[in-house]
Amino acid sequence: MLASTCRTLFCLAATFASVAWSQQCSCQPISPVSASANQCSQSGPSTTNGCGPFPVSALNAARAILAATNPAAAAAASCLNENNPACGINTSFSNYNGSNPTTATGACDHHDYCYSTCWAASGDFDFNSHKSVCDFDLHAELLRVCAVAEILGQDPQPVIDACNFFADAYYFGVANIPIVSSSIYGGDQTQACMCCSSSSPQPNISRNNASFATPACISNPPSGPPPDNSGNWTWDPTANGGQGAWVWTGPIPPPPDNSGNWTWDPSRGAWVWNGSGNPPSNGGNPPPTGCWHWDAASGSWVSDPCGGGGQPVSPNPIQIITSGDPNDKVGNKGAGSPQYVRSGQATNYSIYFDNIPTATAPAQKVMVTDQLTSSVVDMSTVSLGKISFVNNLITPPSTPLATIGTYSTNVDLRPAQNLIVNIVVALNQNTGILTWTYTSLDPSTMQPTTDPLAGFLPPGTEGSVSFSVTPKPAATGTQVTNQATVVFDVNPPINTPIWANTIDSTRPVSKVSALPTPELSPSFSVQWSGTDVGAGVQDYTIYVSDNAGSFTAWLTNTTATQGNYIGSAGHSYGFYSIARDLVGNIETSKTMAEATTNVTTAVIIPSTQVATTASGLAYSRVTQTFNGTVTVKNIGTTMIAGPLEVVFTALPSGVTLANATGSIGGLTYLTLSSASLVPGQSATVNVQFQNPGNVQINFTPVIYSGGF
Amino acid sequence: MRQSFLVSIMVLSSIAAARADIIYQFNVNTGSISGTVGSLDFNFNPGPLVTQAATLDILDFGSDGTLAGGPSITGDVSGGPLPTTLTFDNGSAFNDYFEGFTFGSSLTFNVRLYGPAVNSPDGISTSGSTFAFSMFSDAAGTVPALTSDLTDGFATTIDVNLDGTATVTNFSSQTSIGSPVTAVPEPSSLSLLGTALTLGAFLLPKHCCRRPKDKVLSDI
Repeated sequence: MLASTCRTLFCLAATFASVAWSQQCSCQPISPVSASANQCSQSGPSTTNGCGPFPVSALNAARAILAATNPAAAAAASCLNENNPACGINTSFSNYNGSNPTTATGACDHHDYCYSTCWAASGDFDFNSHKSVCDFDLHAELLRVCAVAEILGQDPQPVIDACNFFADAYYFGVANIPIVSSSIYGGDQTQACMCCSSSSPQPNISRNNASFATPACISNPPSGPPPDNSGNWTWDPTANGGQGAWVWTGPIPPPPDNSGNWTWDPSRGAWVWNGSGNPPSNGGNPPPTGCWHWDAASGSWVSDPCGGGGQPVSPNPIQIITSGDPNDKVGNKGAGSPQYVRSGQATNYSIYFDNIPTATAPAQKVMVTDQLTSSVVDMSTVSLGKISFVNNLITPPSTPLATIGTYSTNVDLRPAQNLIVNIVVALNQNTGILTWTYTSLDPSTMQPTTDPLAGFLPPGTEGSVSFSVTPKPAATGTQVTNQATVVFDVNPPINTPIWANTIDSTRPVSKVSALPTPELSPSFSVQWSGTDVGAGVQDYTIYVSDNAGSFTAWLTNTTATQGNYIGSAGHSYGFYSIARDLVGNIETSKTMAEATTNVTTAVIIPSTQVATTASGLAYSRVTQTFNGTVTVKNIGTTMIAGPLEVVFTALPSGVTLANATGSIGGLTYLTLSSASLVPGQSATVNVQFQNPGNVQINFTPVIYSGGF
Repeated sequence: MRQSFLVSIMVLSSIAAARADIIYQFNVNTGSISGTVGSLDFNFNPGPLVTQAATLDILDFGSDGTLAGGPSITGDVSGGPLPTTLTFDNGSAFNDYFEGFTFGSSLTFNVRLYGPAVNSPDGISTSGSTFAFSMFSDAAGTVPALTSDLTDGFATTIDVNLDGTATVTNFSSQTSIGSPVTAVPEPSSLSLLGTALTLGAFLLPKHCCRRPKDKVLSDI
């Protein structure tokens, strides 16, 4: 532990030097180590960390304190080495290797081991003073290093002075810093203070946290079930003079003798005898709290209101104060009812917890636990979002939690409320458990408040935590579920609803429909379509190439499936589409056109220059077509250059030109003549229509000059 | 006297502007396929552009062949069945009469074209109408007979042109079509009555009231 011990010391020194604790003491998780000679079987930190590491600023701050009384010693301690702060030849605190049964080789490591394993250090015959003994031993061992160095005579006196200064300083930091459960080191300290003898292994945590005094060891819960085998009882290790007792925490007053021989009758507010045989004479002892009278006729203790002096004044039972916890959890809404999200897309979750308005006490401590599944999400991407309670909003750094290890902050509610709320967030990457812990601290002791009516979350108020995590790559359809657990004070854990998302890792596909070639008009219609497995297509980006040039976006992120492209006569165009689905998957990029066309250079002959007439349409039973002719006459005064085409527009539905020369712009046409028409000259072409519905055949002829 | 002269000119001009109906006399030598169980088809349809109204009659149908009876009629065809006169109007897209027929040695009928498109072309319509006559050597009407137009199977077509004239195209060497016989349209009874009344209004009173002075004087 000395690593953690020393960190604490130098954090204190850093505090003296006006260096912010939270910024300088970003402690790293410490690996557990097994111990053979322990009593509590607690896993503890590594014993080979040595002293530190500390921030250089902390070492400098300590040197500054030393410089005030012994400048030469401070000057000697210029190497800023936490394991050898005096910078001497024989003053390394790792030199000590006393009676430690482990492989730890330094005073700091020895101290770590003492804390975390309850190892009976030298002179530690009473486990009730275990922490003090650990601290005392540390001091002695550090001083011994300095004494040995002095005897060896290789280090000048300023170095020996510095060694003694730092030995005192390290001990000062360990022995006088209150246990702060929010710090990473606080956990080690707590563990150390929790050590008890094998005959009474249950530590008094609250007393331990409340002061620096060594903890009292109290009894374990009885091995049997609670008195009435219900969920209305909670084991309180501090009750019964520190011996522990089952405490009634149900919504109704506890039964008369804390046994299962009584049944609560809510209609009468009475405990009714339900045991074998007759009830005790005159009911025996009344229920331990509240005011009661014995009703011999019904064999029940009936509750009464308590008046002055604790005498019954009305039949209402007393109320046990407790906080209450409805909660909720929400995540990414996603797309569609499966709430699709993209593979690799960070998923945001928020967990809400309310102290219900009907609760009788504010919540003092709330623990939110979220179990992440390492096979589904990438633990290294867990980042904290905003943390809130009542009207307080905390914004943690956006750095992934795996990088910063643990996030801790204090929110001072004074002067409105004499509380400091300590919030600690930690992620165990091995188990995937992400935990937020809100603790209401008494500012005078920086320990959990002992006032039952004080707490950071009054009835009717809400808190929330949030985080984001990125799912690992998975196949479309893979479910990502998440559920949190919220614990209010001593209440049983309550699970939030499960939030489920579905992975969509499939890219959409799309295609531009084939285009008529050539297009009659520079403005022509382009159509496209797409499909997607999973969330569905959200929109498209349509790319166009003009005259075989590079592709550029014509329409970006459009939800339309067709558009009118405006080109130029004589140009060729190519199109392709790129679809995006509702979760942001984008279709694989393309380099080739899916549809091509060109715009004709032929021009329309105005009706003032040409007259179009047609014969009647004779029906052929052989061909089942309506046959006739169309004649075009140049009624203008100038020649119309050939070739000439008749484009059949506005043909009725179901009617087709059976002998068309071709189609252009989605319309059929006939080549009328390859030659030009001089004024007054006519050209006639046979027409043949298929008209299975025998509807009236009509069309609007458009005459073009110039080849298609 | 001058008024009566003008009215007379008007009436005569009106009668002269109405073109005559057009009648074609068809005579088909069917001896080469006599006894064949075939079919006949007649249709008269408008064109695909703006078409003026026209009517066509099949008159005086005669043959030593045998009509099968139970014709298939489509569109605006009235009268019949053959040999009774058939009347085709070009008011709908497909106006057709089809009937099974066992050919004899000959077949005759007259085709009469009339109506506004024939008798009074409006000069603004852009489509004519076309009559087609076909003979088939099968009852279903799929195997053309007695025609060189084996593609479409037409024996004869008659186009009503935009100027009220008609153009005959005959693909059947066995079919002779007499030169068109024009028939002056007979004024209807009302037209006749109107003309009479008009003439009476302008002419009769003057004759009635004019005093035969000379005669009277001579009589005195």
